[in-house]
Order: sequence, then structure tokens, then C-alpha cells
Amino acid sequence: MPNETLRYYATDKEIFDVLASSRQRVSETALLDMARSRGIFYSPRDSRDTLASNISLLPHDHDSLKEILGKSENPNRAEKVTSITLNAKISPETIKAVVKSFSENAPSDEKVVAQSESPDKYRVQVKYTELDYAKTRLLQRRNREADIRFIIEDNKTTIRLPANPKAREIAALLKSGLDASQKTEIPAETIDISDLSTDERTLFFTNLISTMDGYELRDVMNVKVQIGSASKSPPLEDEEKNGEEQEDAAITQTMLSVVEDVALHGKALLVSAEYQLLKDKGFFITSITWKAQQTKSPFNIVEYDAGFEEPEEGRGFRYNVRGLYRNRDGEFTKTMQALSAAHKEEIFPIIERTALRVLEALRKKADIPQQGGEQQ
Amino acid sequence: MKRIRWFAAKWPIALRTLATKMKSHPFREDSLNGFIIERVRDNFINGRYVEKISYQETLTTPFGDQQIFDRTEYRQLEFSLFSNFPHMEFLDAPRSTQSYVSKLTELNNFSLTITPLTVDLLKWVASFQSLANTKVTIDSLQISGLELETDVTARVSISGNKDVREALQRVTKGRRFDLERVQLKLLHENHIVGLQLINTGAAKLEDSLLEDFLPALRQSLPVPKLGE
Repeated sequence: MPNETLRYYATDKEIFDVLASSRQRVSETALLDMARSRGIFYSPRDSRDTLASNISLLPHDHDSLKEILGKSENPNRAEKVTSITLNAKISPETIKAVVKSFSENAPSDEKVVAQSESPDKYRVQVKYTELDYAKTRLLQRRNREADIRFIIEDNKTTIRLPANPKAREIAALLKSGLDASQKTEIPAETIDISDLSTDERTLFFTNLISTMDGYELRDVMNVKVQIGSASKSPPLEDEEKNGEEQEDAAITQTMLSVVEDVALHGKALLVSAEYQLLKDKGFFITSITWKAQQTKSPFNIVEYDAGFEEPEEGRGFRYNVRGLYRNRDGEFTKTMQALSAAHKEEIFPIIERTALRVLEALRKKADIPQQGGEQQ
Repeated sequence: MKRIRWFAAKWPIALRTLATKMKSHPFREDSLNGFIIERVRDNFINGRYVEKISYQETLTTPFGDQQIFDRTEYRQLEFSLFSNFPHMEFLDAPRSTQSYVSKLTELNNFSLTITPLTVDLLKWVASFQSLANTKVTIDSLQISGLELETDVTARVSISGNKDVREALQRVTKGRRFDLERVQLKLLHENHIVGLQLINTGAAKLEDSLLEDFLPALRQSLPVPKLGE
């Protein structure tokens, strides 16, 4: 076991760093509250630095330190998810056995909890610690949880996992365990559009947002676009390879202004002149946030986002359900409400299915209405 | 009173093709939304976009019981699309046109551009006056962002029994301001009638005047300069 107590040896300097670094979550008011709970009243006119410095010099026990750390953490860290589709039916028993051997071999700082939610759903929660040396020392180690779900369907099994490197690593380990238990490599399908042309990549997104089962597109609020590699200037490597001969050329090239990606925020973005101009210049979509309305009761509007971890390569599809605008007597709530994990789990399969279907159709160049020679 | 609003758009496909696509998404009894197309020409489409909105209304009775009613509402947007500027015209548009715009962009393969207008109202009035061939008086107007001094602006509404354009000149004296809306008075069939123009490319007028003035209003709308 790692020495847990090491984490709680915090000097005043370190506490100051934590208090001062998360400006948004540990606000002046939060600092004043913290002091007030100890019966100390500081002036509300004191600067943040003074408040943080004063509080950091007070004695802190385990609980108060925990409170500070808890405050500095983002409570609704919306982690995007991703999925791997295994084209084989895998029995819950097999998954259970693989997870068991995985949890036995897990490193000491990881804790694996697995349970079967229903005959066709299996959930594995891995608690692990994450290190980020760029953070201030007290925040370098954070406890995280990777929630990995196996959804068993007729001919396939979907593994849904948080889109982060650690969860991917765990999923890869579990997948190789499954491969070993089946004594064959199970064909795995991920959403990967690296083989598609830039126009097709944009089509992937536009078809995804407009053809989701049970939902109808309402609005597009964020779009990130990137220039296609064909329209880009030659890569930097060439310049380096040819050394001095190319130096002049390199200098002129670095002086040219180049826009490589653009993030647009607004309303009805896809009909904006700005987006269309970028599109005509060869930019393609790499991530998108949109709203869609349910076509059945209760006709709520759901906000989604989808994108790629490696936008240029089109690899690592990840997505999220950001929240819900409730339909109240024909009008929608102004603010977005968070969705419960169970509710999200109901919506994720729709994105996954649509993405797979759209991708398959694009690969086949089959009868997708948006395709064809009509585009200018 | 009818509200009319115009937009500029860039059609990626021919209007006849678009009309065919719209007809393949008709509004029916069982659909949630769809188009009802009235007239189609090479350079013109006229129709309605209908949205059926269903929701449940909960009512609490005086005895504390809850009653739930299923309600249905229809929201209609009457539109005309033109191949030339102004490309899109809405008649009495509902507050939210999101659904219509997303449907339209889908039908246009996501290559459609719609740009809201910012209109120089004095220019619009001048060209409307020469088109309608009648004397037009601006009897009231509203301006905003009139710079009184550095970092101080005013919102002013000016009205009078005569044309207020001269008064506007005197009040603003070359300072910056945004002309937001104007109210026009003009003689029409021996009656003095009024109509309102708004700088977002919108107009408000009595239903009875629609037929006589709509074409002139549309035609006199200043074409936005490139890059605007």
C-alpha cells in the first residue's frame, strides 16, 4: 500500500498554493466562509492573496485539508465517454472471470469494484490515482474513478468507458483478457474516421447530428474546424531535413499567416456565413456541440457534444450528453439541467448506434440523402 | 398587424430542387413538423413550416388533486424564398425559428448560409419613397447609442406632427448613433396610413396594406454590401 499519510503533510506554502490556484472555485467568498467557520472574520476588502495567505497559516487538520481539496475540485467534471464495439457475444460469466483476474493483478493503488447490473449489463469501477506534476504539490495526486460498462447485445458487446488514457489502458487490458479467454482475437470496432476525406469527415458530423433516432436537430452552438492537410503548407519536417538550403524558404513560410483551426461559438452556426466561408476554404469539422429535441413525449431538448481526441487524425471518438432543457407547457427551461448517470446511459447507445451507422454508410457511400452531386 | 422579416441567404441548390425536398417532408396529421408548400416558381417558393407542439399541462384543483391534460399546439411560420435578394421572408414568425432553420439547412446539405440583416433605415425609407411614388413622412423614430460624451450614450425616441428627420440631424449633430426603428406615415387611397420599419430588416404593417406595400418594401430593402 502506498503511504496515504504522505499526502496529508501539507506546509502552509502548499495550502496557499491550492487556495490561490483555483481562482474560480475557491473564490474570495469561499475563503471568507472558510475563515468564518473557524470564528475568524477577515475584511471582505482584503485581497485574495492576503486571505489565502492568512488562511494557509492557520492550523489545518485532516478534515479541513480535505475540505480545501474538495473545494478546489470541480464537482461536475463532465468527462466525455468513448466506446469500443466487440463484434461477438460475450457471456457475463466470461467478463466476470476476466475482471476478476484483472482486479487480482491490479496495482496496489487501484481498487476494482465490479457488479452485474442486469443480465446484459456489467459494470466495472476502477478507482485509481492520477498524477499531474504540472499541478501544485497538494493537487498532484488525485483520486479518480474509471467507470467501465459492458453492454451485451445480440451479436455484439459494447464497452463504454471514460475518454481518458487510463480508462483506455484498462479497457485494452480487459479486452486482451477477453481475447485470451475466447482464444481468438475478438474483432473490435471503434469510431475512427482517419481514412475518410475531409469532406466526408464533415458529413460524418452533420449526418450524426441530423439522423439520431428519436431526436431532431435544433441548434448547433459550438463547432471546431480544422484545415484539411491537403490545403496546408508542407509539414515542418521537410524544412528541417533539408537544413540550410531550405532555411530561406522556411523563414518565408513561418512569416506567412496560417489559420489551422478555428472554434466557433454561437447559435445556428452551420448556417452562419463564417462557418460556410471556412468550409469552402477546406476546413472540416472536428468537434461539435448541438441540441436536439426528442420526437416523443416529453419532447425535451438534449444537449450533446461529440469530437475526436486526435482531431487531425480523426481518431478517438468521444462524446457526452451535456444536459437537458425540460419542456414545460410547450416552452423550454432557460438553463440546462444535469442528467443522472442512468439517464445518460439511456442516451449514449443512441449516439453510438448513429455514429456507427453513419460511418458505415459513408464507407459504403450508400444512399445517404446528404450525399450526392448536389453540393456546390 | 403583420410582422415581416427579411434575411439574406445563399442557396446551394436550385429553388425547384429545394421545393421538391420540402415536399418530401410534408406536414401531416401524424408528423411533428413539416412543410406545406403553396407555390413554386424557378425563383420563388411560398409555403408554411408547421410545428406540432405537444405537452402535458398539470393543473392542481382546489382540492389538491392533480389533473393532467395533453395539449397540442401548432406553430406556423409562413415563408417566401427568393433566388434574389432578399432571399428569405418570414410572415409573423414565431419567437423561435430554430426548428425551421435546422430543417432548412438539413435539406440544403448543410451548405446553406443565412445572414440576418442590418439595414440603414434612412436609405430604406428613401428608396421605398421613390418606389411607392408618394410622399413619406417619418413621424417618429427611435435611436440608441447616441454618444453624449465619452462612455455616455443615450437612447432617444423622437416623435412629431411633421417629418422628424431634420430634428434628428439637429439632435445628433454628427455624433454616432444607431437608428433602430422608424414609423412612416403616407397617403394611401385617401387615407393616412402608418407602417414601421426596424433596422434588423423587419417591418410591421396593417394586414390590409400588405398587398399594396409588401412588394415595394421588399424591393426597396438595401442590399447589404459585400463583407457585411
